[in-house]
Amino acid sequence: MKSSPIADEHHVVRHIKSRWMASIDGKTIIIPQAFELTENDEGYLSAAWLEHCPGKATVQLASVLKCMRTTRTIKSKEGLTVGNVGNIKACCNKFGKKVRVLHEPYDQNLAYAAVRQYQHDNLEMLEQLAALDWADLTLISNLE
Amino acid sequence: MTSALATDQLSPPDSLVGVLQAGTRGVGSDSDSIRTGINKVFAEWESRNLATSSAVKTADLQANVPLLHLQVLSELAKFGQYIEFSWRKNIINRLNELLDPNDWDNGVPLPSIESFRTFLRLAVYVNPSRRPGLAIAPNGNFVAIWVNNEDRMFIETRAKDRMKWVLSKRAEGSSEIASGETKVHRVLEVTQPYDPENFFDNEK
Repeated sequence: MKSSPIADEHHVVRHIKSRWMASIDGKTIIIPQAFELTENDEGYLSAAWLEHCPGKATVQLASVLKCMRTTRTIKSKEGLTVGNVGNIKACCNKFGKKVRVLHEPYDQNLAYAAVRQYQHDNLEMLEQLAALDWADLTLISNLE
Repeated sequence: MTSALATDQLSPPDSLVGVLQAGTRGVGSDSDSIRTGINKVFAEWESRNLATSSAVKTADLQANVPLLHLQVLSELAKFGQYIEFSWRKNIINRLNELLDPNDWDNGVPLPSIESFRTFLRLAVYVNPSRRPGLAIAPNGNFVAIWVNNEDRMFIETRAKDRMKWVLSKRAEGSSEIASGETKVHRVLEVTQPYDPENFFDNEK
């Protein structure tokens, strides 16, 4: 299927494994390394396009979760974190990375999105994503 | 770095004896926590029928995680007398969560023992009154986390005392972010401009 850019005012969702976050003083903290490319990311950051799914925010997120679960195991204690596309691009741009955020649907996951031309060699950029620009975390247990 | 565990070098009975001896040496009631952790690992081990198997494949990551869990507890026991009891207990509980074999898929890097050893050395060297959270990065390295209101500090510990740190803090109405690489014995010095006591000291 054809890929297309996601509008700056829209949002993308990243799956956060439980070992990439910690609960501190009642607050769940995502580590910056959660935005590193993994061996499974094949050179780009995997995500999902929130607005691909209709409805209110929580309904959208639950629908995105359903799409993601068609191709990967996502457990109750894990999380989904949401970021605004424009803010993510601005953050990466600030650290010299001009990324493209694309909707790249395929049969098993029609909400699939990718952050391309992404490099993870700047820990400060990862921290800004984790702390500010891609930090709206929802635990899966709250969506089930 | 993927730290594939050489399972043929780890004989369960010897390892158990070693861990228990190290865990009970001079640390009093802490041995109960260590034993609890070990019992959990062994229960997992037995449930997977690994205790007597010499044919554990290093490629089978889920099977290796319990073995690695045991090694991590062994490392903790070695440092036991230098880390306060309640903190050790918290670390053991957190390790039980982080090293749940059901959460590890094949094809991802295993948690790094060398990284955990550096974390323990950092814990002993800094001895922070504000205890850090603990996570594991996608590359298998342990990450220590300190949060004080909006200020955050992350230290990813690596092999041989090396570490990467990053912090963000509010200063004069805006957010500052800084990062660097250093060794355990230099961490207080290199983070000095950012007031490390703000993170490490519970009174701040």
